[in-house]
Amino acid sequence: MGKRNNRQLNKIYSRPLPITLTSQHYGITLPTLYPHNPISWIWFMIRYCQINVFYPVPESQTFEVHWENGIFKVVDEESMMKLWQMGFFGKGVLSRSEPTWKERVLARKKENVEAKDVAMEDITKMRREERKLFKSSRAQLQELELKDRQGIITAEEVEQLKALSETVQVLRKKGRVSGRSKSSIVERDSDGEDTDSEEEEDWEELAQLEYLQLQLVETFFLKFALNVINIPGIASTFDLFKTCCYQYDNNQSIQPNNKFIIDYVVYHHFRSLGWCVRSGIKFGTDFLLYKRGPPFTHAEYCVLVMKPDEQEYDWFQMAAKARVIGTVKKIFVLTYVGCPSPEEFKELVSQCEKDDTGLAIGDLLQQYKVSEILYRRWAPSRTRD
Amino acid sequence: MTSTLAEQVKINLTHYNQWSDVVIHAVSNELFAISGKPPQKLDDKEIDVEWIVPKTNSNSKLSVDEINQWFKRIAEIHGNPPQRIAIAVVNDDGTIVYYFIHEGIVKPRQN
Repeated sequence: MGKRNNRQLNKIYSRPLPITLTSQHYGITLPTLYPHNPISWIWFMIRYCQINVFYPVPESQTFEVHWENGIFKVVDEESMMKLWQMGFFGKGVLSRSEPTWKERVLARKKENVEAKDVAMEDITKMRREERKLFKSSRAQLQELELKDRQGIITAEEVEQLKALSETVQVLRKKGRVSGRSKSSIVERDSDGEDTDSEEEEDWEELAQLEYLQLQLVETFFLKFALNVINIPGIASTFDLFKTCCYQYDNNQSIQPNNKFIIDYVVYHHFRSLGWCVRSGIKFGTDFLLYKRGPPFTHAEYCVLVMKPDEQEYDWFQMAAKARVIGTVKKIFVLTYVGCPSPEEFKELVSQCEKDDTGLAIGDLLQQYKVSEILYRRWAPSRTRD
Repeated sequence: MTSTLAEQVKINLTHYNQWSDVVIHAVSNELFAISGKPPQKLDDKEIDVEWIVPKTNSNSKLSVDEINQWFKRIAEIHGNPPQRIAIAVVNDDGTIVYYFIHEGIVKPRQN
């Protein structure tokens, strides 16, 4: 997105999940398999067995997550960065998504930033300032135009009107360009002067006030599906499961249609299909689906989770959501979740209580079924050739 | 729970949106209001101090009656009723979205 080129992005975000694969750890790969050549099958089998016997499965790094006042936090800077870079988990509480607060404060103090270090939030800020200038010029212009129509304009003001009308034209064009590619803004920032090295040391001591906040579904995914986090005070996966469920319903006996379970089923469903799933609150939906992640492309889909046996949204709300999502050029996906019956659910939960490995939760979640429907506004007169 | 919610919004306003004089007022047991000054005027309205009420989106039910109460309560601590209140909706990933609520009809701003 203008900031860094694709090669750099591919390097930074080379891992889609925070796990270490055998092939990456030892730098080995399986030989190519040719379906018409049986010798390649044998060689493939030998290598396959060799790798599984002689190379122990590498341990993935474990991240520390703290549970405080109803929030899952990651405070260690390195973990914050890794969880963001490998799978885009969590959100910096003082940033739009990637935890860049410290970087931004340093940049603000430095004033002159090299083009490549401009945080996405700064680009937005510059664009907004330009927009503000455009609006104030336009207001002046409209005032003069009104005077012109009323016939009370002076010769001096006629000149002013001409000049303003040109400025507004230029700004309007610029707005359209910088809305798409941010290059013009980045370029403007690149002519910085050398900075004082003495001051630079000061900045490095800036305290990190920002932490990475994980959603309930993200936390549970990292624990249950990937097993790469450790939460002091919440030992087992089932304890975490219960903690998350109680955030939506204080009732000690968990119901099959608990909002956390329904949300998690959808989250896990799309994650396992390879999508990068993030919160969709900005568009009034539950999730956003990115093909690879926020730095690469805009989200393509907005997912709304439909609870079973419950009409949560009326048609007014649906129409409103569909219009918002349509104008931001995304596709609206309704995701319906079917739950197990209360008896089945109770039985499976009691099995989870007895099981220490956390695998029984998998059996429980498998009883949930997910199906998707695309919802799109159709205007017959507009869609004609 | 609610006070930590207000705390979260305060941090966001101070360090992310760079507001100044951000103060949390415990209006009643269940209502916390936040007052503060934005770095620039948010639109062409002459408002010095903005008022914010934090909410989570996990219990998203909100009645007109409740909003009326906010205006009344804030009028009591502030002296006169605020022109508008911003509602801060906090998501479980820490995203906060702000929406203005006015008492009555206002002229829409030009986009």
